[in-house]
Amino acid sequence: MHRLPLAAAVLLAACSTARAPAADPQGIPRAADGKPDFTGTWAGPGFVHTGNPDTDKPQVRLYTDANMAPIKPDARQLLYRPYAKNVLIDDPTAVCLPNGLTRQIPSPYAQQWIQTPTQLVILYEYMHFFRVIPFGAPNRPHAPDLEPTYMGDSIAWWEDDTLVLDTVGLKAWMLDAYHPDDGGSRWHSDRMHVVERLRFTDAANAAYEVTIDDPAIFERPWVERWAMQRKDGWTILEFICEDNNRCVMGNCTPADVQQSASR
Amino acid sequence: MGMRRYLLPFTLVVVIAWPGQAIAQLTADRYSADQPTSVGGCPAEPLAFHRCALDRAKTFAPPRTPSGRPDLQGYWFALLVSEYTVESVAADDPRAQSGVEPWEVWPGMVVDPLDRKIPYQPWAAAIGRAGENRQQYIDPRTACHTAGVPRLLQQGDITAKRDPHQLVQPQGDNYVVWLFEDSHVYRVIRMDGRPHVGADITLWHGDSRGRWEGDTLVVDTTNLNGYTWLDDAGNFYTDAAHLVERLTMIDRDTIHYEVTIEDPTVYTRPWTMAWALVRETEAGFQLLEEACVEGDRDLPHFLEAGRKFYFGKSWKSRVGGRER
Repeated sequence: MHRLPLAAAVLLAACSTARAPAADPQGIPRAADGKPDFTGTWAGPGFVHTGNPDTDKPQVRLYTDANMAPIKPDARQLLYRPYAKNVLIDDPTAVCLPNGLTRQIPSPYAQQWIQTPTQLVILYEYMHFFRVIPFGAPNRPHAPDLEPTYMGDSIAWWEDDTLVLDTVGLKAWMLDAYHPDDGGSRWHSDRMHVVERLRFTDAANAAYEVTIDDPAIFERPWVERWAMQRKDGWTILEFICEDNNRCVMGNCTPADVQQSASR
Repeated sequence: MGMRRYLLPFTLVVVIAWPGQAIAQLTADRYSADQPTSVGGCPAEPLAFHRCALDRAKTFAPPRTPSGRPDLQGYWFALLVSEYTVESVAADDPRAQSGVEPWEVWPGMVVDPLDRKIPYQPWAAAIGRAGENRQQYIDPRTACHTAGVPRLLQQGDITAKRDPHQLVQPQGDNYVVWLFEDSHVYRVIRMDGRPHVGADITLWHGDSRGRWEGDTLVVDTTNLNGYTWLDDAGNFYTDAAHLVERLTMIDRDTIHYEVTIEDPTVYTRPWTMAWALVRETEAGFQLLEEACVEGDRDLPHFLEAGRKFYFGKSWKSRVGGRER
């Protein structure tokens, strides 16, 4: 980067104040409205971040047991579902059902974020799911008539330079990709309230804090601290789970297998 | 939250309740009743709309993004479309008279050629146009595969608005992002002038590159896998297809959409469809979540009836095709 003569730099700054905010001392990208700009392609918490602009190691990331709040009496069976030899319980993504929030956050695939003054759009490569999240006043209420969905109803606001994504309206579904050796899965209830808090730690890295508040299961809210890293050279690719889903609800007959093999 | 209706496919209800002759009449009437008499100040018929809209666009100054591009952002739904068939259906068409699954009598989305039919090579016409594809294969949408381009735009209930979609133009003009409620899929259209990906890569939505020609967004798509259909009739293209979509705003709430499809493998010449995209103006509107597989209980019936998964098998059995 060439250094501009001081006078020229001052002039440029004077001319540009109307349209663009002053350069951020930490190099954090900023939108025209002065907010940190999360626009870009990111390696989410489902990667081991290397700092290399091109390569990160994908890794299925789970919630840390030690971070979890105590489980309410009798709620353990809501959280841990034993291996059932039923794909709808053991892992519904095997039949291309959505992985849902919060399992989507640490999926080991790229995600593309687009921030506008009014909406945040997140495109997940995994399962081609997307979220369109409206910005508005902090702690405003969600719509009262929500249908439970896999990704829930997310709203966004700013707390200084921290981006807050607040989600309710989630149907009971898998919490993460937890699969112990003896099978089983980890679920949340339809009362789960998720708060994602994102804050740039430098020009290309953001702290990604997820608060899980599920009063049907846990004694109190608890927090998992992850990170994501911007990858300017990455492009999200097409992911079509159904491409290889040739059987109904995972019940493959010999004929299905034969048809699939003969393709 | 958007107050959109989710209705059962209306034809099923009608089949139970009405004798055959009445059905055809009702279907035709309902289609007419569903369409307004004019769209964006133009006639509500695809060809007449096509001609009028291109003329109107010449004198309309579209709203612009901070970088000066036409601002197409917002929620849109299609009008002047049918999910049954993109081709014309005459009143004496046996399908319009069907007591089981009556099709809409209508002029068709095809605006070139003027006979409103896809210019198939004869062998390919026998596969599309309610032929082999529809009779022997499972509609890719029924198997929860994406509707593909441009069928994603046509879906919805014939008595209500089509499934909505959203256009986003991120700052910097490097991309246009198109989000669809149908199949809950998105397209990321690169606007940075890079060439298409290598020819050995095929994708369900293809590889789309966009550019501006005046105030028209032009989207050029290749690298398609040919696994999707154009409509319920099983009309189709192959992995050799080249699509050019053109989006032109004719007033603040109306876009003229056209798509030209070139595929020398199955057509005798390029052909064009056109229709309208109309802005959804309801306050607080948002796209809803669609998880197709959740309600997917009908596949066993199709498989028991001997239907096969599509994956372009009908045309690949004739012309080969790139295997992955």
